[in-house]
Amino acid sequence: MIAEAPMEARGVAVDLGGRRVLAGVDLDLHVGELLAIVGPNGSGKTTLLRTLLGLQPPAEGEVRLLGRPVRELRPAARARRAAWMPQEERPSENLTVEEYVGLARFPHIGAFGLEDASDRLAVDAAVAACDLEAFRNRGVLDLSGGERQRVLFARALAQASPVLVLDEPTSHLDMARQFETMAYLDRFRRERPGRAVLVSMHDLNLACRFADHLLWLSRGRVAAVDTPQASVTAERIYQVFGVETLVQRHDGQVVVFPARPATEPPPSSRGGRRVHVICGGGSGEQLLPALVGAGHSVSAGALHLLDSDEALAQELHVSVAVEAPFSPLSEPTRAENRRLMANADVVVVAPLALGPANIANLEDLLALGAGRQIVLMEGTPLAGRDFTGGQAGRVLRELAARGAVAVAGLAALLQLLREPAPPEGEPASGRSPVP
Amino acid sequence: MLLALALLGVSVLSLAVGTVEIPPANIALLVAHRLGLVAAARCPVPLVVDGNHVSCAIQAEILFLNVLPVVLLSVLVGAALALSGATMQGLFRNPLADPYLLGISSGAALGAALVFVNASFLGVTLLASQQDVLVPVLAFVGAMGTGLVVLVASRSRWATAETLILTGVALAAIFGDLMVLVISFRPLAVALPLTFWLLGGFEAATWDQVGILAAVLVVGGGALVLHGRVLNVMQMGEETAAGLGVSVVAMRRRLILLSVVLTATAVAFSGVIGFVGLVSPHIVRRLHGPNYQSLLLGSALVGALLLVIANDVATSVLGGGGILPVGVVTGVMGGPFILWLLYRRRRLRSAG
Repeated sequence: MIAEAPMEARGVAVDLGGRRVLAGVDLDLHVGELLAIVGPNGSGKTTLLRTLLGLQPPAEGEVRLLGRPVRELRPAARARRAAWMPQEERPSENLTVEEYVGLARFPHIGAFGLEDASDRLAVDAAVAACDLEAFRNRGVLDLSGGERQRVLFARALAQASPVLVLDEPTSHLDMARQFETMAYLDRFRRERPGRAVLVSMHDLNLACRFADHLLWLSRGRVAAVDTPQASVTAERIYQVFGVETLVQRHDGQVVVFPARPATEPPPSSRGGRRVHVICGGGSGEQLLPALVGAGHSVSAGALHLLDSDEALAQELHVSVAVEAPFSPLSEPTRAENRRLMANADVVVVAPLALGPANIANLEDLLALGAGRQIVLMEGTPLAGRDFTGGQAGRVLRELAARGAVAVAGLAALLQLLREPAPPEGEPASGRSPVP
Repeated sequence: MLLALALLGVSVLSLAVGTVEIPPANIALLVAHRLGLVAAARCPVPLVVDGNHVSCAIQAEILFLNVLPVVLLSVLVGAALALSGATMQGLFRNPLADPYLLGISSGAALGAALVFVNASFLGVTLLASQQDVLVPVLAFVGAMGTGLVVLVASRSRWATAETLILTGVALAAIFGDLMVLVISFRPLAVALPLTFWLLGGFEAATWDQVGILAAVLVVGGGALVLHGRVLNVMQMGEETAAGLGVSVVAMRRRLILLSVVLTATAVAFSGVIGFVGLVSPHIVRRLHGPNYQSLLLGSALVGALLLVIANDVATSVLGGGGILPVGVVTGVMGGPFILWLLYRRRRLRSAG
């Protein structure tokens, strides 16, 4: 026997207040699937979920819940098929955790029926599954946000409906609770055959990490339905969310992060120079803003994504060569960085920690040859920040031998940059570097 | 269980409290006689009031035609108001909701005012006895009318819980002002009995009233008490309740109807007695937790208990045969309770 599709919608349209807020929505939720509806605020996610559950009558189209048209189902029968977790729930009475989880049995017991052993069993199992034994007799309003989320989830479990529908369950939670919630959903659909989860979210990264498919909702219409790998592109995100993003793929994972709008660096009218900064790990924290502030045209790199200097550089609209987090510099990134260095009048090497992941920056600088002034910023002694087994020291000594100057601090650097560029090959003012 | 026993005990003791204080031994005998347990009605303790000996037959008359109906009516009214109050608090998810939330008291007051103010009704001059019948009837009509208007409004698809409350507030304002209008065309003295009626009391209690209210309470109140689980689910908000399979709109309408019938009947016989419906559910929450499966019945018992006590206070506090309106007593007792409730809630919230 072929199992009925948990949920199926065809041509659903919804009018609210005389306005069509959803049109032509088709949706298939398969057995065992975790389907995420993604879209910006106001795209109709909540309305769609409510319509799929039969809480909002559609103007057109039909929704089937486990094979039965949802409009033919009585409320309790519908609740036995699909559990609903709305975005916000503010209980007005401080029921105990046990009573609260027990509410889930309402569609099974009815308003006037008596609880039987199966109801108690379902509640006990849900309480145990969510690690709530210790909280059984606590009032739900006395729990923390994370505990409350677990209680909510226990209630959904106790309802014993094969389909679970949630409206932005992660939107008000911290990162750990977000992951925990998504892990619960993941477990829910795997735990028993025939289950499926439909969840609306606006955190794309979280959706990509946990969902099998994404349904993109844009202004009440389905823009696309596909796996995260196939459907997440910067173009689609722009089309649906209206923001510029960078999309990276790693080991079958999709990562989305915001792109800063590329603006032209300020013109070098005030005697600004083209300065490239090799920094990272916070070593550019003061350097970058000071250089930008002094009117220089600044670039930086190569930096790793999520490095604090990278974030700062993006914020300052500094051109950066960016590498994926924690990876050795790849050839395309190095090429980009070489281009930035080649275009600079001055390359500043911040007192950064040097390791296998970024030593290539210095090697590339050395390989670039003459043509620009090189400044080595003094700071923490090299011994404390050389994780390359001496290779960094060799490269730095080589750079010094080629005429790189050592500068003691920010003020000295800015002073140095105010002086006219020295003729090629001649060492500029400043002491000889002592690596 | 404890509450039920307390109620029974206090009710029995209340029989001995009144403008004419019948000795407890006589009460026991008279009741036993009525129940057929004792053959002869001979009072063991002589009763002397103002130097006159009160015969056993008269004591029996006072007990059965006055004291007993008063106590029973106060029990029933207290139970009805508290049950209705608990339902309203659950329905509107508001701890300050009470049975009069939807403007029912104003409707009743307007109905009663129409009778008090007009010595004649529909062209027929009223005897005092007819007035005694008409006041409850018109009060009931006014109360039910208000409730029904709110119910009809709840059929509108815009009807959220908030809209219904505001509808009640608007109706209360309209009826309140209409009542003032009705009174203002009459001499001031006419307004006095109306004022006393509004403050509530049981002096006029009759067995008929006890019978009617008992029937309404058993049927309507009995139905309400069964809705504990639904009300629990509704505490999670409309969205969750709907998700769990409650037809929120239909259920709300049913619960409003039941509690309006209870309140309207109570108001018709006793006037507007405040605070019992508001306070009783909160006492039960403190004792027993907020679970509506026990809260509804518990509130009814506590409400009955409170009103019996309030009535005892009202009949005994003045002395010399004077009776205070029960509404005044419940107000004096209930007002401070509300304040305590408010500040306790605040403390809890700041602790949490």
